[in-house]
Amino acid sequence: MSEVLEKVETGKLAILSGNEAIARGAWEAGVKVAAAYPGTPSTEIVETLSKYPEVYSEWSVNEKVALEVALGAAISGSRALYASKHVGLNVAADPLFSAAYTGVRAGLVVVTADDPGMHSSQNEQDNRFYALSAKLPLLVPSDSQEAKDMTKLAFKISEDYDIPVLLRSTTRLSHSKAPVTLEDREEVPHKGYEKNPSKYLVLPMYARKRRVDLEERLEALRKFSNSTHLNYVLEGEGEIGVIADGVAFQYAKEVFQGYPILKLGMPYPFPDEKVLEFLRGLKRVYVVEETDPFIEILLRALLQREGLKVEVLGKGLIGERGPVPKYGELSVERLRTHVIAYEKGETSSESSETSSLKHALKYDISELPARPPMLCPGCTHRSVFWYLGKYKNVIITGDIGCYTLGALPPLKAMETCVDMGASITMAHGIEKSLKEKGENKVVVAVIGDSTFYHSGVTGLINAVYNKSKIKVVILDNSITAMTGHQEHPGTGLTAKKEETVKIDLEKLVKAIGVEKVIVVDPYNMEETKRGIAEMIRYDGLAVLIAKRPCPLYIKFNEGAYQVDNDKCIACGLCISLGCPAIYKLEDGKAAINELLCVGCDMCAQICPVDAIHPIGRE
Amino acid sequence: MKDNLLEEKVKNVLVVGVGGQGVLRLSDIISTAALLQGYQVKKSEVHGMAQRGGSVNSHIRYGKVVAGPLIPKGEADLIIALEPLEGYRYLEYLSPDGVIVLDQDRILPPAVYLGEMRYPNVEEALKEVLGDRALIIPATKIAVSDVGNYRTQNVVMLGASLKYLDLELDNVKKAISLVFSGKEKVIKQNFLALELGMRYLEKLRV
Repeated sequence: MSEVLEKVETGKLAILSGNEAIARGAWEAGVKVAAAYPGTPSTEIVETLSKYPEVYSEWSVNEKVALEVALGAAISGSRALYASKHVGLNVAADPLFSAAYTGVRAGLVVVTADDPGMHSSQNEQDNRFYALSAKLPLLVPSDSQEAKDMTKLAFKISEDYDIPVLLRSTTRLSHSKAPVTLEDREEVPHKGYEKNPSKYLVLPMYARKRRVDLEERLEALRKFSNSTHLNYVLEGEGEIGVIADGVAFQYAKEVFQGYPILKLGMPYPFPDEKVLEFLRGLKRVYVVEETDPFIEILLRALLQREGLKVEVLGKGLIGERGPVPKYGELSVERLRTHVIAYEKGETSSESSETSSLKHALKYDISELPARPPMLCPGCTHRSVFWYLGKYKNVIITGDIGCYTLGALPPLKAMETCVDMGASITMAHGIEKSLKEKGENKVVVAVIGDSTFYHSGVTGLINAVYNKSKIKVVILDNSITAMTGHQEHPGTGLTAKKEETVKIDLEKLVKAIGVEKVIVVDPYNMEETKRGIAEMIRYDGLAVLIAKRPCPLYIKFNEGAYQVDNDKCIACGLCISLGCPAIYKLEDGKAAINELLCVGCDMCAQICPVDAIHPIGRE
Repeated sequence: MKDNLLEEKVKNVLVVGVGGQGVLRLSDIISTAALLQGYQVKKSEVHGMAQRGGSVNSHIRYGKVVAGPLIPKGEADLIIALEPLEGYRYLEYLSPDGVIVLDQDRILPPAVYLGEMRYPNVEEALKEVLGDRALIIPATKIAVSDVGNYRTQNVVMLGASLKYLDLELDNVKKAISLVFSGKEKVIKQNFLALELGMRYLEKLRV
């Protein structure tokens, strides 16, 4: 989208998403190296950067690798950027904490895209706390323009204070589009590499010195935070003020019109002097932020230090209740309703959002048939889940990707999903645990190809080494599908679409020491059925690779199928595949939506009366 | 900068539908057209998991000055629903004098095609409450039989909604060319889809 939108320049103005704006800012700041593992809502940052010829961009196998690549680039003189979703930074936390000690030489910006409300994530952790615990300066933009400007400034701060800078986005910023003024790229001279082990080698004896130095850098950053224009006051009247950051600032502006608002573009190091100046004459302060009480805690610590009595109203700590919701994404109306409810002394606020229109409606909106996300028509994962779900006595652990949807009805063939790679490792743990109880249950781990390269392979090595008998299904659709089809080590192309080595999954698994490896085509139902049966029967660790490219990626469409209504016996077998293209008629017989069907043939193969055929080929 | 059709008020347009129907593409066209017209534009959407056949929405706000990226409930001037049930689902966003334009073609949610729930007659329920403010368009049918590409359904809907958008036809066409740049055949088909959508609305209004 970015290339398209940049053509819409109205005097160098383009509509950019927060992610595109971060990428643009990095490019304008002369970034030379960018590394990431895809993850919603962060993916488009490095995807956009990969289209700029001046920037070396890569999809790293995981976030830890990506951050180390970026750190290596920075300490050898190139401005570098890392980007991931919030949970991705957990994977990269190991290098993150030590990078604060080593410092950077050339600018290093670490972008975290958090997901309040969990639109596409397993939790809603607030990564601003990484700034506190890893001791890094933190910038929080509130719209696309700021996202671009702050990214540029972040590179400068990183160099001036010799420290990585954490830039926090959220889904709403990353995926909202707004006009941004475009500027030219500034080529920053390459600083080159300079040997300096006492800085870049964190032996305890060196690291202890760097630890002291870090404290000095943080103190200098505190002074900067107190003087920077990133932290500013929106004038207002009265004895009640508001402190806000990020997109929450936009909501605060609408809800608290006319109140003085302190906008924190750089909440950490906490600009204590600027905050104290803002508090002068105020009796009460609302703190509006997503998702956890980060600013609120720092503010309360500051008040305690100064012995000041200003009422702080935010989310509250555990056991306290404040006017700002403790969890979930904020919005203007949600914030407004909660603040009003709090001030009225009501105990519950979520249900008070009603409208007269809602009452007039015949059907209650909350009772409409839901529309959960589902595996697409023609999805290569469907057959594997359909057969796996038939084994009632196995435990199926899952992983992160489109295929997590295999857990939902009617397939219901997955029982756990915690984090990237956990299908294999948790399956191993479950097997060992049940063995202690004398149960020899079959445990099947289901993982995608990209997730396998990310962190599944280490778990598999661990399982082989520790004499596991788990079964592992690798759903190899030859792309990172969920995040919008990014390349990975098994695709043969780099992030910049250059040809490269294509890792052979089967050979890799065998090289690790797996003796039983079965490869099937998931569009072939009989082959898939037999492959799964063989895997489950095998006495020892077995891997089944279901290999076929994602139909969405290769635009697979062999033409739609139809159901011969006279032949159909309404057995419901095809319906149980959970394909969005197949539906049930009033009489219980099946029919196919020809606009959705791509002709994968799975339903035709399992129909007991041969009633399903390609249209025009009965 | 062109003279703004909108004075102080912000135009709030909510586009809803099912993942894969082209909700995001349609909102790209609308926001690009609004930018070409000299408005400030903000647009918000959700990617990732929700795009896999789930309920998808995109908020578009344009005018002289726009603050937050989300439309507050009860403030959408226009809802474009590429699927009727999805239109009903987001009805709380409609302003007291707002208009909702729906495609009549249903995409059955899992609970319905698995035979566990019935698809409610939302079209009738909407007509009852909203009267003339609910417009039902056979956009998928027009896209399939008259344009020959069902993927242009979203732009047929754009044509049928155009008069409520306060956007000039020229800018909308320019936006279509930009969003599909390099794909001449697709642009042509979408121009036809836009035209047919506009014509259908005129017919409906007579």
